[in-house]
Amino acid sequence: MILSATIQAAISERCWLEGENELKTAEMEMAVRGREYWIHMKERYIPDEETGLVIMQSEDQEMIDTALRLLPVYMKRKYLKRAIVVIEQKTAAGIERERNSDAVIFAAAQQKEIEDLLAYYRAVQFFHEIAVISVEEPYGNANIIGKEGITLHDYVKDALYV
Amino acid sequence: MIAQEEDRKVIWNAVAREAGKGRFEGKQVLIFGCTPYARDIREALQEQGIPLAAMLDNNPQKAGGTCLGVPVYLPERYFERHSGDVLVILCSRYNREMAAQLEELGLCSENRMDIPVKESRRGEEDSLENLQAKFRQVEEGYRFYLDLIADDPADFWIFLCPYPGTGDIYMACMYLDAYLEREGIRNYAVVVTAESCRKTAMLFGINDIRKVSQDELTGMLKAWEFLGIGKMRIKPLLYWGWRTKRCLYADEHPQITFNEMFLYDVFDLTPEVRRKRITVDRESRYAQELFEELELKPHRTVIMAPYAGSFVSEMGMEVWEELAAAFQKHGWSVASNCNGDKEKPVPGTTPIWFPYQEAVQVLEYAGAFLALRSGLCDIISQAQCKKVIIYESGFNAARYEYFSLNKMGLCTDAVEFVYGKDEKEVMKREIIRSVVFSEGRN
Repeated sequence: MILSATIQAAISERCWLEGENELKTAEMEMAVRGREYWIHMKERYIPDEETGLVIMQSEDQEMIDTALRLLPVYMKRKYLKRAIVVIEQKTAAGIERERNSDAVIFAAAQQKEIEDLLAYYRAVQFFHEIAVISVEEPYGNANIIGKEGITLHDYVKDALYV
Repeated sequence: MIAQEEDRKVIWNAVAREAGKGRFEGKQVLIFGCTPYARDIREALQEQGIPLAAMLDNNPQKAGGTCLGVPVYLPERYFERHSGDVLVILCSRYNREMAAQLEELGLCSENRMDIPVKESRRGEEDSLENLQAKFRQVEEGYRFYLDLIADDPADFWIFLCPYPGTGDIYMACMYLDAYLEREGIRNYAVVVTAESCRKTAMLFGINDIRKVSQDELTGMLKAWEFLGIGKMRIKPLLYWGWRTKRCLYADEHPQITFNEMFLYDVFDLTPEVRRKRITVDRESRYAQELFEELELKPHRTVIMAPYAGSFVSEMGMEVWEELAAAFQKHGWSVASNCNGDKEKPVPGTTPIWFPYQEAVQVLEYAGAFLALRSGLCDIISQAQCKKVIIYESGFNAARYEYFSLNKMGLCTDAVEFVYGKDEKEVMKREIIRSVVFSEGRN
């Protein structure tokens, strides 16, 4: 039998710990940390049914600006009274003063914390209203932007804020 | 798509319970959302002797048409034109937003009834046990994947076709060669869950097609979604991201069809790329022999296809029957494409069945095809015959805007109708004219 690259990777990355049958991966560790981060966020911001959680994974400034510009439209369409925007702290520092309000709260986070939160989200739909601002592979792509007249604005409005 | 058994029980129990309390008495009953659950709600209402007055939907393309035999309105339009006591049933993943919208329109909680189906958006619990349970699902899917590729070379790719519909796999296979060439992929398998998908992929000459159960496929997808491409060389033939289906384009951007989603979103190709079509065996005598056996008229037969998988059409069998009678009156023979015990032929027509690889030849030999939009329409789209395709406007399945054969460029000569949008008698007249009186290629 040929040992495939994936199995070799699984062994070399020690997906299954020696002597154990349980799968352990870096993604799982991230998800566990992401859960802790979310619990911390819940205690701090006390999100309710009329709150939306926006996770800005993208570091692309144009995408961030577009997403922030469209945030009120999304909130109106979803009948949300409040949005918690999890955003990388350096980016947050640049926009906080002008955009922070009672309705939109910027939760500054390290990129690593954002990745952890997303790993948790990939495992568990932990909140009723989550929008992820990202086009990253393998879970999404930006292939359609620029085709048939579809703009970044359209993509954020119709494909990410859903 | 049809409602799952678990959701059906929730719907039927909720309607029976509220009917027992007299909640529907003296009220116009409306359903908010032309969703797959609506049919079950209507049936549950019928069981209680409660008529459905209308449907509400925020999609302007659905409003103005009919669904489940009743008119569809934009919510604000309905309440502009109608007064009286109403009860609006909400049963969708958007229950919360819908309730807020109705409140904005002046309806209080007494005027609505929430039925919480599985997909209603609710946050899952944050317990560590729940996370661990998800990890176990990931592990199960990952182990299945490793078993599936255990004998394959290191550079092996899996192309997953998550939906059992033949239209999805047809579209994917049209572009697969171009994608493989660009990516330099030589070793791969296409993984499907349905026999019809396997047969469709075979039409494109794909050799390694592996059939797995829906649970096994879902397990692999869950694992892939969590672990990513670094650990699993999987490419889902599907246009979705995290728990969202990015098909809203269809509503907001009518230039984007099912075809563009595969071309751009799934494969990142350009329109110049050559689409692969199925190879037709022109030497085959299958069609001729079949017609002789069934005593059907060559080049003067309408093959009707009134079924579209699990999709339950609103176009009653009587419409098909009337059309069949009209064709026969004009000297055409009529056959009904049926597969299995559940698909009965249109009364007065000859039951017919043919394998996918003979479908194009059979239709060209027949002369005309009249079908409810299904995956079979993709397969026969290249047939040189009269093609009349009927779309339905109420539900998400096979909507014209997104699945039109002509719009997708699968052919240019299909005559297409939207049932529920076009007036029924006008539509019937036009269908007969398209087959009997138009210039055709038969």
